Amino acid sequence: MTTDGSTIEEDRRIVRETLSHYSGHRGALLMALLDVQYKLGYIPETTVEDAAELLDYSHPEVWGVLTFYSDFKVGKEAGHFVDVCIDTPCHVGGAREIWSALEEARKSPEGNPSFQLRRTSCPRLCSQAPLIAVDMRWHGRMTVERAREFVAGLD
Amino acid sequence: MPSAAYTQLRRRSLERWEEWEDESFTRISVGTSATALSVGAGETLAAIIRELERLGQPDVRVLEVGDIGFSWADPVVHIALPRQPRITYGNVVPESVPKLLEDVLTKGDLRADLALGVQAPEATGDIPPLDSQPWMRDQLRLVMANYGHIEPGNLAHYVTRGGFASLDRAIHEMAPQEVIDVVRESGLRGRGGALFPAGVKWSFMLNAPPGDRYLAINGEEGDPAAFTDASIVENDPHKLVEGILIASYAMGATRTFVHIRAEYQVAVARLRRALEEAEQAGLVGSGVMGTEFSHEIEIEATGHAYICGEETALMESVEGKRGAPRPRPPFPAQYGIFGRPTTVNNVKTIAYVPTVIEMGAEAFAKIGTENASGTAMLSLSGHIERPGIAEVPVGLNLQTVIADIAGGGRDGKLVKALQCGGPLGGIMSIAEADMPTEFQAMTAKGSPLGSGGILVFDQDTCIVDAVKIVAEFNEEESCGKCFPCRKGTSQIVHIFESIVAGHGETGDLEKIAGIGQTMVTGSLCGLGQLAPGVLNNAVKYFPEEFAEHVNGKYCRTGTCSALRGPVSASEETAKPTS
Ligand SMILES: Cc1cc2nc3c(=O)[nH]c(=O)nc-3n(C[C@H](O)[C@H](O)[C@H](O)COP(=O)(O)O)c2cc1C
Ligand code: FES
Repeated sequence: MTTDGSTIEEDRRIVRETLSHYSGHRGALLMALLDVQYKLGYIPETTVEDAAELLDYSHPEVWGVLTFYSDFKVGKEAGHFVDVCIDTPCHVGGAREIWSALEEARKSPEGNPSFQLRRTSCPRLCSQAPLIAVDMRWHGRMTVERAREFVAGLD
Repeated sequence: MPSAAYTQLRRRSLERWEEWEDESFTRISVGTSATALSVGAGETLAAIIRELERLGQPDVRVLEVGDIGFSWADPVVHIALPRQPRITYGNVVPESVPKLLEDVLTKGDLRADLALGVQAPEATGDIPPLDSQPWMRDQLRLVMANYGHIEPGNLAHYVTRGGFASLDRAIHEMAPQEVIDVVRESGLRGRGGALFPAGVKWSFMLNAPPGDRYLAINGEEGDPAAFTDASIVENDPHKLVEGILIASYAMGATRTFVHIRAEYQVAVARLRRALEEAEQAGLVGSGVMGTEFSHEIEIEATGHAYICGEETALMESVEGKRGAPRPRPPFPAQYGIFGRPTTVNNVKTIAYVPTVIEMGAEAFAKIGTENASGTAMLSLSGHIERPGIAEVPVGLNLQTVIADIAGGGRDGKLVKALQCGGPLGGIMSIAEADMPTEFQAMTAKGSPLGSGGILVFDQDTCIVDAVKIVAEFNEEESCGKCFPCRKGTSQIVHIFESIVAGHGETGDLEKIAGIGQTMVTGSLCGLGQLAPGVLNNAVKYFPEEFAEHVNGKYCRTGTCSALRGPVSASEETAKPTS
């Protein structure tokens, strides 16, 4: 999912709309937040107050869920997300080298700063390890070269 | 004798199935699991549709089917020409689609070079039967019988291949107690790790007070390197639905909660479809197949948290709370979800149930070993030629699994070790693997098979580095509720960090063993009790490598960059020694 052109306000509107679908549903907080995460690829900081208000939870309760489950990635620094799986099968498949190459591709002077690099736990696609996800779409049998090509093309 | 309701369901299903499977047409199917999609199966499907248009072949039928388990060969495409057997092709990337279709459909060249095998007992020309291939000949596919053959979630396809006949038999011809007896006599044991006999667990529910009773399906599958539960839900969701209904009928359960990670979006979507179709056909809901038995099934899409796979934590999570384990007793069969009697079973355990009813207790018990009947579903990953999913009779030699099914070390490298059963399992050297793939035997070796994940390390893998990742995983996933586990997992990570940073001290390994001992005896749940297993095992089977790291400040594979590696070692020997 690209976030091109979508503004912070637009994301927040999507969050509030998504959350309101769950109001009044028993134990809905987790499912509502997961829905936001997988729609937007991240959780805007303002979601804590929005969820507290719309679903009738306290702020600490919302934070409790956001910190307990590793799906949640709070905050956004750049337009695109690149996730690298770092659990054992991907690790022994070369995830560390891919991570370093991507970090370099983002930070170096001639690099591309338009993406945010994140570590992620195993999405159970280990038979295609190592993997990276670009804007939440997983790509298997990853190599350092292909990972570099992927991010070079992002704008 | 099939009931009237089932006979009707079957007739309608066959009609729908023939919309796809009509021998007078060419049929092309593409395996589209999440794993296959991650290496381009979606693009391959699109290319096939484009190419058929270009070739002017509007009569060719195209279908998305489940994954056949050969991740190494993804994208996998099956082609059946009119009145010909189905041929399975591997590594069909979008670029190879035009030539493949042109050759097979218009030139009569079956492209043996891309074929993995033909799905028939006899070879077709140079293409051998798929079942004779080294990676298939030792497999016995009970749970995986429909993988790659049907459109997942399509009820008609499932019923055409015999689906729901076991449910029909159970609810129309057997008393609940009889179903429990068959499952108990079949020797089916839980596949979630603890190996508890399924029939015995179900019988605990019979003494429960009247009122609601629940079944919870554990689809958390928290072990990295284990992916068979998700594969069942993705590739044959009705198998799980049928198993749930039979189990619930036996236990008198009124509602099932399927606990599965929201992240597995393909699996969740296919399970939703499967449930909708089953509800419409009167298989789920009130009065299943026209009987008195009613049952609701609810999907609980949840987040990543390893501890939620532990059954009491899972129950908390289903209640919408933070998943932290409950002390036992009371046991779930007395006081479970919302205080009601509850049974928690793994996805695989329940997916076996239709087969157990179909085969009967005796025939099922004959498969496998005395200790554990049936098959083992294996997730194969790591440094091997053929990563993917396999199903083998319990007891098949583990080295055979690695050599024949997994294809041995990748790029001709030697296999060094296997990590089995995830972060709470163990590690063994390949030499130790000359043993049966059997739950109890592997547990005795200190490497329980657990959920069936087998991660293979080749000769270039640093065992200390690999185990450090496991230790970090356990630290991260410890829920923090009890002190021995919270403190122990983090102390162990600290020691590992100092070892790979070159600050290892004599006595470090003894310290790790001591902390492990405290965790085993003092932790509230299995996470803390089992987490030291991998470490103890690794030290036991690879003592030299640990000694080299701790005392020699040397990493033989060159992985630990703060330590001396093989290159600097050879430089040293090259130095004049005088
Ligand atoms: C820390 C921990 C994690 C677990 N994770 C899982 C899991 O992901 N899936 C699973 O089926 N069982 C898991 N278990 C085992 C469950 O507690 C339980 O034994 C199992 O779901 C019962 O199902 P079965 O009898 O069908 O095997 C875990 C146990 C522990 C202690
Ligand atoms: S470890 Fe990366 S997908 Fe499982």
